[in-house]
Amino acid sequence: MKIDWDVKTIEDSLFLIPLLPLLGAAALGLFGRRLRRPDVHLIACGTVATAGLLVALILLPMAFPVLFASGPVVSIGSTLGTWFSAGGISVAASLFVDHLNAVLALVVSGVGLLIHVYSIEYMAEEKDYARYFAYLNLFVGFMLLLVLANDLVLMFVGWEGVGLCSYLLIGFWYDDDAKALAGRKAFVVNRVGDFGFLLGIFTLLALFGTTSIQPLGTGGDSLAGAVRAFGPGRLGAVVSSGPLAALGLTYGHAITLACLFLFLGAAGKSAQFPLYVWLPDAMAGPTPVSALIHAATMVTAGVYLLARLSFLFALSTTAMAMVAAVGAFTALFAALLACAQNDLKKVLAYSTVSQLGFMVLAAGVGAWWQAVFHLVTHAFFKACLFLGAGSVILACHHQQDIRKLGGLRRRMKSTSATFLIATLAITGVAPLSGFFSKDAILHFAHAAAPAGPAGVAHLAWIVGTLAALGTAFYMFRLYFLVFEGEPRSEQAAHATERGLAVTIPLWILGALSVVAVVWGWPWAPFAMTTRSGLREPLFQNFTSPVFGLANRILGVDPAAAHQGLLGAMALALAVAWAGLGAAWWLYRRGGIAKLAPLFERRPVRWIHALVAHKFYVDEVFHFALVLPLRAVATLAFHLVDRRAIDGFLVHGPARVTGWAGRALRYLQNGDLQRYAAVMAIGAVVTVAFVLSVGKDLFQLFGGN
Amino acid sequence: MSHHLLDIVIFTPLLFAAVVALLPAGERNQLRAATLAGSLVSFATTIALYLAFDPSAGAPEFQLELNRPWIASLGIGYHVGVDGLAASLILLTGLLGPVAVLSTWSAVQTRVKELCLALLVLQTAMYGTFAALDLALFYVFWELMLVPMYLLIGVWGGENRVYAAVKFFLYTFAGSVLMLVAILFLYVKSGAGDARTFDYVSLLRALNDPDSGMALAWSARKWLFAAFALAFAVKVPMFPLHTWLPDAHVQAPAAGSIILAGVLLKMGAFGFLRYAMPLFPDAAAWARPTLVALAVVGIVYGSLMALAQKDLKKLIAYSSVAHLGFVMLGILAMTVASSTGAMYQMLNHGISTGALFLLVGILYERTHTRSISDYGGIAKVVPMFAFAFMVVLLSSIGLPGTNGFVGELLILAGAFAAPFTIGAAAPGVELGALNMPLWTAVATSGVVLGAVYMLRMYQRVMFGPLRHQENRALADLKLREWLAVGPLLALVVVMGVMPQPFLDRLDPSAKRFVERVGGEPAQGAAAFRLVGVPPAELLSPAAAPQVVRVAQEPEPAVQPANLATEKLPMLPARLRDPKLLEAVKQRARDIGTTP
Repeated sequence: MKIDWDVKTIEDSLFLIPLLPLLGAAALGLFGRRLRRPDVHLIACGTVATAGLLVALILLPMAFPVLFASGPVVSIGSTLGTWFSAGGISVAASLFVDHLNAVLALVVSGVGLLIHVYSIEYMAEEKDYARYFAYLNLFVGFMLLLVLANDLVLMFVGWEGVGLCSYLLIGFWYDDDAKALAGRKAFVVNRVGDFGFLLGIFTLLALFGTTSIQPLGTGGDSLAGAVRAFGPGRLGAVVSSGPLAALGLTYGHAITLACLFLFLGAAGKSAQFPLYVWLPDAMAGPTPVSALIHAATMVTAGVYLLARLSFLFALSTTAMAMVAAVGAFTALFAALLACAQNDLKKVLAYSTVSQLGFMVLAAGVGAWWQAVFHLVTHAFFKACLFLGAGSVILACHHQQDIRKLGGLRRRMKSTSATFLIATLAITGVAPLSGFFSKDAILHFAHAAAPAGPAGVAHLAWIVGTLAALGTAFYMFRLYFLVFEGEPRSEQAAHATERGLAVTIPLWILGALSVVAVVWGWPWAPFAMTTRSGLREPLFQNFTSPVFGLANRILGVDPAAAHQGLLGAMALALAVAWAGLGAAWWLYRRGGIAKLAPLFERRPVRWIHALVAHKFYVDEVFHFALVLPLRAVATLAFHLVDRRAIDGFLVHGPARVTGWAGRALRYLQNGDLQRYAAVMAIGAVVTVAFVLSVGKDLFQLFGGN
Repeated sequence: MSHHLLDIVIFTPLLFAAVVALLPAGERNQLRAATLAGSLVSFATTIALYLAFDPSAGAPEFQLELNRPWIASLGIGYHVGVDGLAASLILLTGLLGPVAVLSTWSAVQTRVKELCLALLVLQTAMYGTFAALDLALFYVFWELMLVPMYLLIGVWGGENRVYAAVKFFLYTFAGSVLMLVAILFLYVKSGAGDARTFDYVSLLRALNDPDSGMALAWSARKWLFAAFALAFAVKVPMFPLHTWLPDAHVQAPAAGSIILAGVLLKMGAFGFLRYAMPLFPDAAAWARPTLVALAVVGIVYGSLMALAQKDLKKLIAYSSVAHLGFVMLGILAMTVASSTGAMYQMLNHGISTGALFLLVGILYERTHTRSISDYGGIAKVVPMFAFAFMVVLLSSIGLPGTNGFVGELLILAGAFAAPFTIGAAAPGVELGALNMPLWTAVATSGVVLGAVYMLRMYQRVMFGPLRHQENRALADLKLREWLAVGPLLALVVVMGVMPQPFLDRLDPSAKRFVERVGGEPAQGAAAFRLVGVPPAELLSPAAAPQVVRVAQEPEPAVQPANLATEKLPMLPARLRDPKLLEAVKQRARDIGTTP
């Protein structure tokens, strides 16, 4: 007995998925002030839930095709029409769902719904209640558009749209200058990335004539189609036709250029070095926003972009190496910074940057499904961690300094339990989801990375392993300082946990961080056996149609991915335990006090200061970029605009006219005697002139 | 009726000006109401004109044409007609008319009658400038615009209004006098005796037809182009001829700024598109590298200047320099995409910058200060105003979903793919090549800078704690103000989400322009094709809406680890599904790979 799903109807309603939350946002924005609070909840949560339900309806036949009469569905798409088109540039308003973005859309709407519910309690005392939910709905709508778009330009709409929501939500309490500034910083740094995204779009347009991602149905150009027909064999050929012919590049160079531009965009959104600077500041926003936008969903958009265009990046080893290197460096760098932070949310923010680094590293070595899997597990446990942090912040009256917390385990049972689960998941101490997703990345980088300069993948593996050590350390440092020991402040001593709207999302996310293990479990009973006898985890199996083209281009050896798996896991476990142990000794056994004299010594003190001040990256940006820009602007205004152009070119002639007028004034002073004298002199000069050259002049004008 | 439509459009404001002239000067509200009525009727006529324009491919270039002798002895005709661009710009002018009138309602209390007359006469002059197809007529309307605008700045302007008005007048006039000389030169060369003409269509044909007997020397073409280009470059304004703009804007009343930024700046770009470049294509090709460089410098420089401003109106004025830099880049790139984008951006800039000046005017009316530091934290006091300002600001920085994005994307993507050199200049003249992707990349940095100065300004005005207690009781937008702002906000979204109906009307103009100036060797999509992509992949999507299902991606034979087979244990039914197998084969045939 099979379910006869009418896929056509689902396809027709594809546009409803992003549209519903957007309509909810419009309704809340326009009429929110007049609505009662329960109605606000109903609109905000209802639209997101319905969108999530629609996504699930599409995902079901993909995940369990055997149950459906429609048979296997690899991807479905729907084109509403042309958004705009002029002079050969045509952008279709078309959405599609495949195994990759179906998962992400479900994460966005699912985690989004949980955080909507959580926000009901968290923002209960907020006056601008409706505005908050309007922004949140707007975000979910744009994020779904970003994920489902089948055209890079349409994706860019969602891309900048979520950036706008991020700006609005970080600066939600805008009467605080620092918060408004943090929002602006996020927007501007993201725009630097978007500058790259735009140039990437232009390069691809000039090269392939399309920004459509996948071919839908009978035709149309698409990047995937072009790459499939193009093949890596022609990379060395010089671009001889089309707009880029004049540059004399090879196709390989042009594609590398496009990939690097796009990666700049991805690095902006996914907070990679050096564009990560906005993310820690973004913690100024309400904590549920940090959980949803700045941990679980929006910041992973860059990783999604890399995965979405895997077939394109696979063509460029240079770009892949760059991606891997930046990702690995970011992972380690941010893990290091997280170790010296004392603000609860800042630790989690740097942790997010570091984990995004892992995902980017994965995309750079060709571990596509691992990158996406880590994205998904990270969405669960990091959202759980942030919501837990929010619960702590609520309970402790906005005390966020972990030196002043402590001992909360006894006062906040649900929060501490779920926080511990999520911490275990992110560090990979126990076989929870994060263990499998992170280990899969590092193992692949070590054992199977096929592309790029060989050293890069191995270096990425080493750096990544160090970053994993850092992760285990700073996460347990955080856990021990917040939940264990004795309360170190009044607020912590009298903390009380909030109600079900807070704890239920926590438990669901905590459970998901455990359940996700199933998708990454590399052995029976969950792993699938391929025809060649290899086992692959469910998630790899599920997403394999998406990354087939990229894997073929890269020539990934599926067998290599299985060699030394146990060894890698043992190493990962050892690293995690080492980090945990170090944190335990330092923060539970008083090791920090014993080490105190060491921190007095000069080199150690300096290094600690350097890390605690985040390597002065923000200051470098400020003094090397922001101030010079302002100075150049002001200087140019006064020197070029005021002095050179206005003072010289514009007022100059005016002044000359003035002088000339004043000079000539002397000729007309009404003095008859002088007039007579001038007249006499003039007459003499004229007569002399005519007598001397008059004949020549006469001839010149044609006389004879 | 329809064959007199253009007459009706052009002279309706003048008719209402006559009515206003007859009203007593003391009855201010009567005067305002009559002027508002006039501008609304006029707006309605421009809508009718816009809808009457037929954008289909076979339609004539100039429509609703009227050609009657005016000063026959001098070969001057009253020849008017509109192409898609002119019709669109006339619609924009019509739209901004009532907005400008509403902005003066309570802001201007002195010499109301004269103000109303100036606004209505200006309206006629602007329509005429866009519709004229006779160079003498064009020049008459062009100079006619100067007078009311000069008065708007000089009479109803701020504390330094006389300086600004004179600067505006002399700057523009210096350019247009040279243009007059060029027009007269063309007239003299256009034939002998009675055959001489000012008619644009005949001159365009004669200048580009080697057999017409109107062959001009290269040096003459060069100088003529320079004369036209200078007049228009001042008006745009292009760097470094822009310094009149900040002064004029700061001193002008809101209505003046709205019209100035919204319509008058477009006259410069319009002049390049209609006159300077098509009349002298080879001179334009010769000057292109310099002009592109100036346009791109204008983008970056204008943005930097905006960053340095402490005065709201000056900041917006300099942002106009940057925005018009984008427009000029799109025009000079000489591709269909970029010039369509430039034309679209002309409309967008009119709406968004018009709205910005309107909003700043509303604020100024309440506080009588334009200094950014006199505000801060007012979003709490005037939330509606802050919302409207935000929407317009997003359009100004080109956020996707607003109109500004579509224009910017078309301009930049088109310019990125534009040819390095265009056509051929005169024999013996070296044409400079320009690395268009590189220059476009520099121009794209304007997207970042735009966000920097706009958001910085917004934060300092709207966010933070309320810095000045006198702003505590600031009134939010009133109904009359909503009537002016609302339509502009709606257009920002509508033109961002559904740009195609508007683009369709610009498309024929852009194609003809590119054809005339010899840009973009292979027009349209063909220029973008990747060599070697099989034809099946090149088919355009069929008519929308369309719903399709994608078949399984075929795996090459060399790799037997097929997805379908890998899922074997779970899906035994799959392999036996003949529909699927057929779909895979069909797909493989479509894309030309061996299954």
